[in-house]
Amino acid sequence: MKRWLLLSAGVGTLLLGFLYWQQVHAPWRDGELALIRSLQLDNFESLMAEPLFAAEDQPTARTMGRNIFFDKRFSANGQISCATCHQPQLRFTDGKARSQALGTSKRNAPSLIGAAASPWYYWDGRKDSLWSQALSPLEDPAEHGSNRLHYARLLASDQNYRSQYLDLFGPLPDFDDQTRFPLVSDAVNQPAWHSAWSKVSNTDQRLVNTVFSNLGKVVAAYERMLLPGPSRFDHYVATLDHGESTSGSAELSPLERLGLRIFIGKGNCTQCHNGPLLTNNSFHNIGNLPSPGTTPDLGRRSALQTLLTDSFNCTGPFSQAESCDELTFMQTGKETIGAMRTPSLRNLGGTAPYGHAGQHASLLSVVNHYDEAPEALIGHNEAKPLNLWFWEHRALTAFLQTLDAPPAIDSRWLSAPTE
Amino acid sequence: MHLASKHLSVGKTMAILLLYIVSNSAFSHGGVVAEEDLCLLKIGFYQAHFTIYQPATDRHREFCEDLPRIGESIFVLEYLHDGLERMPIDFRIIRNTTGMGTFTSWDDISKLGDLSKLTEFYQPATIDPDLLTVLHTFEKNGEFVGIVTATNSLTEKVYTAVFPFEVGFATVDFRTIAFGLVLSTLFVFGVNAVRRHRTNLHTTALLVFLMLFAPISFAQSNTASGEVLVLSMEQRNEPIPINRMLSFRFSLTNRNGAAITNAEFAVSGGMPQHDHGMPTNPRVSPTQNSGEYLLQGVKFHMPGDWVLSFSVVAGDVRETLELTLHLQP
Repeated sequence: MKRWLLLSAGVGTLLLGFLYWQQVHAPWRDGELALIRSLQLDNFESLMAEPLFAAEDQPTARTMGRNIFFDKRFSANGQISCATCHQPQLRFTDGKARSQALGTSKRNAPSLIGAAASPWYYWDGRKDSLWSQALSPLEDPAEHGSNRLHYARLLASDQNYRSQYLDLFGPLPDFDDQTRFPLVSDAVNQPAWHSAWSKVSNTDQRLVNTVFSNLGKVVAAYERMLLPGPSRFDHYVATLDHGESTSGSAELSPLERLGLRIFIGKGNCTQCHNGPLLTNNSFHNIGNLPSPGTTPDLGRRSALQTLLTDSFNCTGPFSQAESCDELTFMQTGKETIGAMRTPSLRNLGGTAPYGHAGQHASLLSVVNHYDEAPEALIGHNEAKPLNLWFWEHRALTAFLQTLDAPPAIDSRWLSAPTE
Repeated sequence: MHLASKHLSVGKTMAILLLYIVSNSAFSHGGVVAEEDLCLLKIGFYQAHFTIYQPATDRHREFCEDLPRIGESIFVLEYLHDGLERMPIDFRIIRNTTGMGTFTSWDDISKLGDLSKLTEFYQPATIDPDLLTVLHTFEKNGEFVGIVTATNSLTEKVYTAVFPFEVGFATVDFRTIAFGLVLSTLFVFGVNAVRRHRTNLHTTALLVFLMLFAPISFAQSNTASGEVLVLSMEQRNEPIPINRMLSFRFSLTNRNGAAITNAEFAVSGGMPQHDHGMPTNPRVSPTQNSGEYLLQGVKFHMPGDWVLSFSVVAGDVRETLELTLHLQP
């Protein structure tokens, strides 16, 4: 009897040992290796969207864009800049569940690092270019809260902006004639602005809109520089030879390797978090609960009409895009209900809380949510329960942190100009 | 006797095999699945899938009528019927003073006269394309009646749904009990079945084998044949990439190889194993070559097994042709 006990204990230990080795230490097989390499940062540049305008890569465009990004005058109260909700030290997020500027936004501020590689912007993808996205917050009453004419005048009244604009796009029109270009003194007064704007002639509206869209394009020229830097994960993959790391210093910990195995395997993570930015830039309903005090967010479904009627979209008169396939062939079916854009996983450090309304305070909470895959309040949760062991939650969380890295950009671009 | 039992077991194996294949190829494009519609709201002859949530305390738990607690409650009506998405629909909650409890009907409500004094919550009529969501925070326990009114703007006909419910009464979740009962019955049944039919082990072994190797059997095809039509995709030298906008040329012929021109297509697709459709809305247009067409706006946002489904109308012929693709990461 005793011998049997000893024997089964021995076999059990061996089995557990084998399982541990197989899960944590075994070299990656070819299929796994291909999947792992597909997540490397290499070739990221090929994902970048087409140029915004001819002079996009000129230093003037980038400098002007950076200066506007940090300039608080671009708001109704002179207190809000793009950097209010996209703070460089927080990987260009704000650390809040839902952003706060002039008011409280519906959703969580996404990171801007690597944003230029996406065909869609916002959680619901209601904008289809980086430059067009940059325009929306400027006129949103809960964000910067002023109007395009106010911003066009600001460009014209600032000597630096005026000469930079001249270099990039030609002379700014004259907005002094208040009969043609009405002055709405209370900048945040939206009804007064809309009424005044509706009386502006089509030609003059076009003039203002051109300046406004160019403003978005220089901000985007700056944002295009915010590229992800190589992470611990990338260093690890670069040293892999025959499925094993050849460099001690680049090696991931056993827990992190187990996390990677789950990430590419039973966690189903790479179904949506794939490619070098760990996102397919598509829209999925994952059944996150609504923010307290709000009804469930329709997500992508609510963006479709906005997108098609937006004069600053890909097919509009201010776009230089050669192809608008994304807009032309976009999915409009019922599966867009409650669907949100897959976020990149390259900036998880400093970007908590997570989820479209910051529902998850930690990565562990996100992992628990996917493990459970509860039914969505509206629409249908695409994820299926994972049945992970509790240590697998920890492993996955540990792995996710190896994807984080500071942006690959000189630090002088990460703060307001000092002149 | 021996032969008969063997036949039976082969039949059973085939049935399981068939079931397995069918369950793997079951296809839905998100939205609500029929068996989950335990809770329906009938507004005239229109129907909506009806659920109440109390996310702050009960997270994703679904309630159909009574709510266990006071507090923030979200009512969701997902329209199951065409028509509701064009109607202005309003939502009212009144305190139930009819004395009829759970049997309260529209007749009882109409006897109450002016509802405004009894109204706990009112959301004016809105037109929503898919669903109506309502948020109300209950401050007190009590009996309530929800009243949903839909107005057909053309005929001005008004449809009303009434649902009495209680708030703040701990309820037993009958679904949990039912689920538990079903599960234990199955367990007892299963144990007995295994005891009685030990010979059925090979069926289990086959199932396990299928589970392990089924993904491999999902072969990629460049050609889809129907009874009349044959659709052939162009050969691609490179593997199909994920997350890229793609277009494909394909030809449509009859089974004798004669080109079919002027065919009309509706293209859909998705990943049967993941229960979701395409991220885009692809379209087909004819090219200059007879019987050749261009499929544009195709994108695959995940590695794995995909199906592209072409509903073809060519003259009198209507056929649905399916291509299967396997995408590497």
